[in-house]
Amino acid sequence: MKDLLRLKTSLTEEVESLLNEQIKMEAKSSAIYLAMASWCDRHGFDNSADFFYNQAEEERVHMMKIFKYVNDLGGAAVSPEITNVPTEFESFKGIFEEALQQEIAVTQSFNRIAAKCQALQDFTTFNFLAWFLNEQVEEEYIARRCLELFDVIGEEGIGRYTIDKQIAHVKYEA
Amino acid sequence: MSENRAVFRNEIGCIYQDDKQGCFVLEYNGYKTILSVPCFFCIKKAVDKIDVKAMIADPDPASDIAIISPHSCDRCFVLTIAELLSLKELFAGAKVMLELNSILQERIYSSMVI
Repeated sequence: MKDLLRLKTSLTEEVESLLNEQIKMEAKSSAIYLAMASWCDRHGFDNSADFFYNQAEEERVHMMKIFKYVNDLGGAAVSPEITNVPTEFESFKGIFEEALQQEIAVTQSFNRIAAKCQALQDFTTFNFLAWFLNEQVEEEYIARRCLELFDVIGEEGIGRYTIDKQIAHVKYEA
Repeated sequence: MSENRAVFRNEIGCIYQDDKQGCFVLEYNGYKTILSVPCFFCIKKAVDKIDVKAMIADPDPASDIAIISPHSCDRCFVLTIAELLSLKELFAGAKVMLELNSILQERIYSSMVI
């Protein structure tokens, strides 16, 4: 009997489903960052707004990378429905706390998929995920550094203004 | 049906594989439906997604029936809870057999190339 499954796709149903969930997670991250950018824009934090606009774009690029991978391997990538995107945030610092939590959740999610790929011996996808796992080191570093500025500089006086200026200079150098 | 190979069968029907056409055939309630590989998974996902426990718990008579109308399939399924469970079993069983076939193919092919 011909192997119709593998002739159509080299992705298992489990991995395809996990990757589709990740596509959704990246899309949601992108939408949340966009909402954060909007909040920062409204409250006069120009550099932070630019930072989150860039983050939103980056998350969308990540989403598309996974999206194309699923389709390239014969699977069915699902364009995700994104709901419950917040518009209001607690505070300037609260936004960066949420951003870091978001990045940690994304890293954990990639780790879970990588573990599943190893268990299923899907080393093609495992290898594909390595890029994202490396990328998450940078993403978490930047989010953590931004948050640390609040402790290093302090929010009193011109603190928030200075933090916003410094956000533009946060970079990861491996 | 002689060219088709039965993949999995239960009391409500059977899923065959048609090697020549590269598709599956669902024989269910006396009807035959051609299923492409994506359509097979589309129906499987649709039946797996239905919460049978919630259907049973809901006193509304309308919840005793599930309607599945998968894309890329020319058939609509109107299922009672018992039929739904059997269809779930049919697709789950067929998927296991197809995965087993993939494993066998892999073993046969790897023994040929080593």
